[in-house]
Amino acid sequence: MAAIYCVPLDGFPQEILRQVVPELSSIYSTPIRLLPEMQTAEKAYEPVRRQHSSTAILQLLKSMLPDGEDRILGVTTADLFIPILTFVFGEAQLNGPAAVVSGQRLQNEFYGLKANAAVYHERLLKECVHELGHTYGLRHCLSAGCVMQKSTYVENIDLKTAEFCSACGGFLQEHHRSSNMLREV
Amino acid sequence: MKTEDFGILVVDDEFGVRDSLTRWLQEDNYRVDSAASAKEALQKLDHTRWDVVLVDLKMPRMDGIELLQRIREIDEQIVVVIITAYATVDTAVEAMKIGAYDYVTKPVDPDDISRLIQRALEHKTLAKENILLKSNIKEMQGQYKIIGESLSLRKCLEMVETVAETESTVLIRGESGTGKELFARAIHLASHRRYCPLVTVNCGALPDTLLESELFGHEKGAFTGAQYRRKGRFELADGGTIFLDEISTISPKTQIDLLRVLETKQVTRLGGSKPLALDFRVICATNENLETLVKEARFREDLYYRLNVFTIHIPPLRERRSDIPLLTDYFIQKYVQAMNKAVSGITSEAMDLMVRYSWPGNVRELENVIERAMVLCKQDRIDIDALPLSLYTQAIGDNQDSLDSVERAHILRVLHRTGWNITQSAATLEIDRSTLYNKIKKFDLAR
Ligand SMILES: [Zn+2]
Ligand SMILES: [Zn+2]
Repeated sequence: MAAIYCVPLDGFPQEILRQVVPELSSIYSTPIRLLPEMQTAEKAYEPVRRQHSSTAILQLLKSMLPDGEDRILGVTTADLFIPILTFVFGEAQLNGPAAVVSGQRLQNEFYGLKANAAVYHERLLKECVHELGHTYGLRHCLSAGCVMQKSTYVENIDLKTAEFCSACGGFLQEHHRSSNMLREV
Repeated sequence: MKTEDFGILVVDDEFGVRDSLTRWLQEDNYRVDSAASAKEALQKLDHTRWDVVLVDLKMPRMDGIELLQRIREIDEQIVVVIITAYATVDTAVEAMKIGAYDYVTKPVDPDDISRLIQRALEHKTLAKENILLKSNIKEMQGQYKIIGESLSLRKCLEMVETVAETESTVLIRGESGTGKELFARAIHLASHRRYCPLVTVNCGALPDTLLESELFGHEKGAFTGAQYRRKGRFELADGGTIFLDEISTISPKTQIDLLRVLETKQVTRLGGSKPLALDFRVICATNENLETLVKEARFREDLYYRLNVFTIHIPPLRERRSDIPLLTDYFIQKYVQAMNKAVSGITSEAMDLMVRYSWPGNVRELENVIERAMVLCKQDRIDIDALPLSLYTQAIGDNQDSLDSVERAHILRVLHRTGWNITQSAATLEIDRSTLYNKIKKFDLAR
């Protein structure tokens, strides 16, 4: 059976990652294996922007996986960017194996607000589900509340749920079914 | 219009920018491609249709300005957005003068670029819609058809026709999911304004600060993050109709501003100084009781009177049950085409449940139920097992989550599945036959 590998990056606390693992596993009905922590600065840090390139991290993560149905999700403390944008909450390879999420801008503290562990956990879970969704081929969804809704600022994330709408959920089931069939052949 | 119908071409000589922007936009389901030079861009423009072209200003050989000029010559309809580094903002302003739609400075805030593209596409759709409307208004009316033959619905349609030809403000009332937007569109299409845009604003979907700039527009630098000048929805609706959905949700501050705009027919952009005189008709909609809100001082009385000139009440679906079969067939046909699935209809047992259900979410809920059933449907016709559990708890006002309701629904479902074979149903439910008989009696179940 295919698995999702989870890697804490750049000092992301194992125990926080461990809190989202059971929910992620049940949402995707896929076992999750936690990998040991990794550093990405050497490959991904951009001194001029003082941020990490999410695309470089994706390449790094991808190189760790053999081809197949497995997925790999990195969760980092670093602030992420892609060249055209000021920041991203995360990035994923559409239909590809790798996804990355940054915890940095999901924390209230980043916006000068009082820390809130529950809110942080919710946002982190939603972003992990969202980016992994892209790796299974899901694109942004317009259904209210669907986790695949695009979020361009943090309040957006709070407005959606951690769940898929019926269309996205159906797409995912279809994906699982067809990849299971492929394996049986 | 669906996002996949839109084509966006990214032109930038820097691989990193081109690649990251392309992938980022693909997640939004747009059709996206990129070009590394102006020459490549022109080739791609030659044999594919693009709605929006994002052009980097500084490129070797032919620069963005020249490319912009060439694009304008090829097709005036293509929306060109200039991407620029900070140092070249002056040139970007120059570019706007020769027809660029807008510009962004890199790196750009994800929210800004995403809204900019959405606006650009809306702008494009409006232009396209107008052309379409002029050529084939009847077809458009067909496309936005309001389905139903019940008396209460026909009355509503008569009211639409009566009020359409006037300039009167219209208030559409109805529960959520009744299709208030369709009625707004119908009024617009039946009015002399049909050749101009119908602009929709869902007031409930935006936080207050955003709503103001959405409605009235803003000048560059009006607030943090306002990187470019932007037209408001009222401006976009000039000559046409503006439809304000969920009007009850707007804040007291926006209520005052809206009242002023309605009284003067003039709009001043946020951060702007000179008011613009505009010509628009207002249709608004609500699913709340405005009179109560006025009493509770949550909605301004003067604004209420200005909006409540002509009211159309759209009946909830449960008050026009005779339309349910028509609507069901209509949505099945719609999804047969969209999903390319061979489903010919619905069984009479399933239709029976559909007609008896209370439909708290109205037509929208019915459409969702059909869409879901189409996905699940494995046979030629939609049967009861493709319908959600909630349809089995028929009585209006039932608590659908109570254990009794769920039990009742489940038993009914099993009975349906076995064709009311008591022995088989009891075996499936793992209870004995007498218990099943007692439950049938208790829940008043019938074939
Ligand atoms: Zn996304
Ligand atoms: Zn969705």
